[in-house]
Amino acid sequence: MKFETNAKLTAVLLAIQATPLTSTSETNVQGCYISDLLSDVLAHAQPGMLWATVQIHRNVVSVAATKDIPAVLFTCGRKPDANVIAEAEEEGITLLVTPLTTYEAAGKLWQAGLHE
Amino acid sequence: MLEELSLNVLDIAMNSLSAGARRVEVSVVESHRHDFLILRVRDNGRGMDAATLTRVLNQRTTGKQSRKKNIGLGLAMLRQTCEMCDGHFHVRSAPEQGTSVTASMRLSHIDRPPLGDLNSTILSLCAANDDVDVRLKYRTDQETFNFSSQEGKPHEPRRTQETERKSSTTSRAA
Repeated sequence: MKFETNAKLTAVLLAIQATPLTSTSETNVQGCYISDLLSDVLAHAQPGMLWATVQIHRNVVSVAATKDIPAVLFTCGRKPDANVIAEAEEEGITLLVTPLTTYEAAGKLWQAGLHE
Repeated sequence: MLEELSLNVLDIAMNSLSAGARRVEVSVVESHRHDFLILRVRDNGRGMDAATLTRVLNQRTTGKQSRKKNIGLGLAMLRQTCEMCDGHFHVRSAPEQGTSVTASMRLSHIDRPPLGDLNSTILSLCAANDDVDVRLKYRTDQETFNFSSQEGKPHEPRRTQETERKSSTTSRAA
């Protein structure tokens, strides 16, 4: 893994077999929010959280930027276009992808201690 | 992506009001026969020049400053919904020519959000500004429904007041 994270996130990333899509470094996340409805994320996600979704539209990056979400996890192996990744780089948002389903990823994230 | 399409309509129409529109026309065409849903919000507000239009359509928040300027994600989210539901999205605008936003989608698309509470949307718009003519045109394969918030109101009450004021000042001057 290219980027340096705090120990917790590194463990978390290993737990969900996530691959980073961006080169953003020093990502810290506190808690996680899961939703595929952008307006729901705008309403309920908290700054600093990891956001897991199957949506790969560029609006995801805009919403993450608006809510100060430092890292987005795409589940079910869904990868966004190169221009979405480039926009995330620009915004300093880390994008991750995991082959796991959202449910599996959520379970493992919880187990790895992300709820604390 | 908003939960209901009527919220998208409300979002766009509120922009129309901020653009100083005196008339906001919401039109909804719901055709089961042709399997499409078309939403259009048309206003006679101040409109946008080409540069602003491009910026709004390609909107993504770039850093905290632009977030404070509050250029929303509204159009970008509606566009995403249209594209996801096999539809099209189009905005036409020019300075002092008003703005027209047209969004279409496949009515039967499994990810198409429900239309939602359009009544409340129209009611909110009417309540938001009493002077603005809020119109709704709702069309299905069978029927058409038309509404205007200025229906039944005395014609141009503002001008009457102004005329009165003018006549009174004239008389005072005389």
